[in-house]
Amino acid sequence: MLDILWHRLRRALLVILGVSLFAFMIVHLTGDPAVLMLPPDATIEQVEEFRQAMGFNDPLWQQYLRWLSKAVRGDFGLSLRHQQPALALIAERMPATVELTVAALLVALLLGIPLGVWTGSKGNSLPSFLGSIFGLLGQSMPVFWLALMLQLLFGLIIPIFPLTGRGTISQLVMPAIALGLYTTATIMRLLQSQMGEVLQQDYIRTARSKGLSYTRVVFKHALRNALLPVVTIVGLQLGTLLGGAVITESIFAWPGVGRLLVQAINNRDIPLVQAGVFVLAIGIVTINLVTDLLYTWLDPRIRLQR
Amino acid sequence: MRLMLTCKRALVGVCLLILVTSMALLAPLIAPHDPGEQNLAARLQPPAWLAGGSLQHPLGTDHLGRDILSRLIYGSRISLLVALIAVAVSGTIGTLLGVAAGYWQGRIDSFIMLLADVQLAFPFILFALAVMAVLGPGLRNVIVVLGITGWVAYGRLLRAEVMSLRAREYVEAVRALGQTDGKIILRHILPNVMPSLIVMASLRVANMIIAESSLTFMGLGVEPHIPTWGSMLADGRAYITSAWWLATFPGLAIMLTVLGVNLVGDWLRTTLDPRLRNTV
Amino acid sequence: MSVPLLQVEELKVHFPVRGHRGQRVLRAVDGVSFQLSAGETLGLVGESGCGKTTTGRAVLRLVEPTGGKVVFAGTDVGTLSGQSLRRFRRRMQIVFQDPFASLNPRMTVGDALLEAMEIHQIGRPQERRAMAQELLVRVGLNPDYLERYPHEFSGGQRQRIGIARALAVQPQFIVCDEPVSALDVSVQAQVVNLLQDLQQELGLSYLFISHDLNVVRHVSQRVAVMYLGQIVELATVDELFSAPQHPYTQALLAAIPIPDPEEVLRFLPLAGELPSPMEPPVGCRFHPRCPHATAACAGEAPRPQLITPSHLVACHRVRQRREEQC
Ligand SMILES: Nc1ncnc2c1ncn2[C@@H]1O[C@H](COP(=O)(O)OP(=O)(O)OP(=O)(O)O)[C@@H](O)[C@H]1O
Ligand SMILES: [Mg+2]
Repeated sequence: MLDILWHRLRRALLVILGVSLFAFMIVHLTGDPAVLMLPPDATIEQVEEFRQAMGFNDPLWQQYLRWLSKAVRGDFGLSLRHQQPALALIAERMPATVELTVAALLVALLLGIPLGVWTGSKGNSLPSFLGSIFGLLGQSMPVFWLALMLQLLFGLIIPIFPLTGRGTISQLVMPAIALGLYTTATIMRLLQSQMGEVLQQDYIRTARSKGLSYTRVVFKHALRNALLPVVTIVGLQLGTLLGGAVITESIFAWPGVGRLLVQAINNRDIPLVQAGVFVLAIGIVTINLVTDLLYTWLDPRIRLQR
Repeated sequence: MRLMLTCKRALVGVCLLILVTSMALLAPLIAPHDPGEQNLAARLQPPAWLAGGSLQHPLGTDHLGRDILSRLIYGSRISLLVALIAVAVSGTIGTLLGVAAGYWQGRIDSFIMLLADVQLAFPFILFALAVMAVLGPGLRNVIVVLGITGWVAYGRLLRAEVMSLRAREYVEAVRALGQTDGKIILRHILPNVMPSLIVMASLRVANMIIAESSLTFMGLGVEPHIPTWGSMLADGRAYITSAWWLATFPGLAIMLTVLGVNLVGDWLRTTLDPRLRNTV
Repeated sequence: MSVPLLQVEELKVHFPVRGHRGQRVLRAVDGVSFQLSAGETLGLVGESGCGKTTTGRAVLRLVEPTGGKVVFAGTDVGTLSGQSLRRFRRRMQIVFQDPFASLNPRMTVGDALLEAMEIHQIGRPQERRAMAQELLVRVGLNPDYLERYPHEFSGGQRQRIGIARALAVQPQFIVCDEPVSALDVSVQAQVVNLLQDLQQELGLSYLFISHDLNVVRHVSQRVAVMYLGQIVELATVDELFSAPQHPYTQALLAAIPIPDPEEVLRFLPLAGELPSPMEPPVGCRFHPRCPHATAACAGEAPRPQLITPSHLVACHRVRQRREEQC
């Protein structure tokens, strides 16, 4: 077990190193980061001075090592716009993003699991049909459109939730649903097909023939087995949610990391973008690492796999 | 029974796709107006069935008085074009890398899988937005970014498949005959991974349509003067309080197209590749 | 005996395995040596998992050996690479156990045979179809089968196609990896006879891997017995079957009368389980299951010794008894 831990940890570190390389390279994609970062009306002298100050004339690998050695100490430089340390700005916005992501995951679990179980245990009936349609539509809707439609329906036509902002629970509802619906649909579809399959299996029939009620069979036996794959995708979906938060936050003016970074991207505030991309990537790597170890610990069968 | 059900759904999906494709192909013939034609006298006109609407503009007009239906019809071109090319590019890259990893294994495999892990660690939209900001918006850049970043799904799938194929005795037999790796891959491996590749590609078309419209919606995708569903939505966002139809119809168009792709993809999955059945 | 066609020395194949206790080494083949003359058949027997297939694959360099040497007709196969290795492959072929997995389901019989000939430019392109038909006749199939796909054939027919494909490049040596174990008993004899006829006609050498001691006895001139990655006894058929020396060989032979030969090796009259090749026992690898094991057997691994010019055994007890006799 300790060995696996060590092995996964090493892998995660390697991935983070790779992430750092990509995050660093973003600036250098066009070849001239100085022009990219300065306003278009900057004079040639200003550009050259900026280049010197930022060390853009050094060989690329030197710049990378310098950037990395600072980055591991949490120093991503000053945000060009806010003139504050980039990491501090991100740390400040992090709680809002975590709140939104967790809320979206809760929506997905609290909505997706019951819906999946209910529609999956009904065979070929109306609920199952409607469930399938909901699942398919949920997976086909772009987040940003869903967000706009929620604003239109529940913010304007029937104004029950505030359109934007953060602070109250009611402000959390629409962003959480917008962000969580895709995952809800995914979990629901998975559970629906899993339940359908598990309920067909012999031991379930045996349990039923022993006189157990249908509800009992569904909840005691089938659900437990159907939930395993759901656990597997929750870890994967957390990463997706964290990424999807970028758009959701922008639309609902949710003061999280995603919105901050979209603004930074629009302002060409590259140090901030690099720091944000890097920090979020580390978050995703960590989540994956933890879920990975969790499965290994939960399910001895997969211990032997890579 | 289940197969029958997906069959019926697939029919719905095929109909949706035929609709969208013919819209894209026949755009100049069926669009009632030029998609860029502005008519400031008829700004923000509601759809025909609402008070103030006219049959001139069945789905209404936008803030510049452009005909929404015509823009929707032309927008399908961009969505399909970007998605198909991006899928072709990322499918090719993913196939190359996945086959290399699965066939030669060892260090090549470790490196390629590391690359995949690194890429999956990035919040995709954020990374794509950042790269688009650096490269500058534009149709070509959208295709480049989506094409290059989209390979991981194929890479992982093909790596696993090729690994198991490579261990098959008939591949070993051809190796024992002295066949070159290139020909083994071309003749004996690729034809056998084709079904999974097709299924994956079809499902990825859906992701690409959404990704393109997301980037464009955020202002860092296709150039704003080209009519696309993403840019129509971005325009409509500002008028959500006064003219809901601006943002509603392009979103519906995206959703129905993606739905069509997903339905057909699901059907392909159940018919072509039983092993993929349980991935949702 | 002249210079042998094939000479295998201290061949080792170790697989890295990532288990739940980290990276470990599976010693599938761990120091195997034997020789094979032109026209000869060497039988290779042993329990499932003892490394027979891996030995055969390593000899053909289908898997990279970890150590040791394979010399074929004077050429050290380990030194070949790229183009020269591919060209060399023509001389050594393999016939697999599972006739359903050894043919590409998307290729006709003709395509498979033509591919083999194209690789080594055997015959002129316009002659190759006729040659392929000849090959089919040679393995006892209808020449019209060229256009058919593998799924149209029975197991025995497929095995014949596999043999034809191996023959298409005109090899001198073929590894037969349990070529009949997957076939119906009624078909087994036909395929074994075919292999023997081909050997007669073409002067082939075989490394004949099998579970079935009766078949091995029938086709081989000499037999090697493998246990956990090593050869424990190697002798001529007569010596091995009439006077087996190693306790493991004795146990194998004692099990023969069981009617279904497939079952033979599964019900050895031996104590205990087959140990894992990841942690082979110290000393003689067989000692935990050996009825005659002594303290010495747990200490040092027995070295293979010739007890007659054509009989090699690796066993402390056998050596001691011989020393006492002297
Ligand atoms: N590519 C591989 N990677 C890891 N381990 C392997 C590999 N190939 C074979 N092994 C292991 O090596 C050992 C020997 O396998 P091998 O197939 O050579 O046995 P065998 O004697 O042919 O058995 P059988 O009679 O079942 O065919 C087994 O424990 C097997 O699990
Ligand atoms: Mg074997």
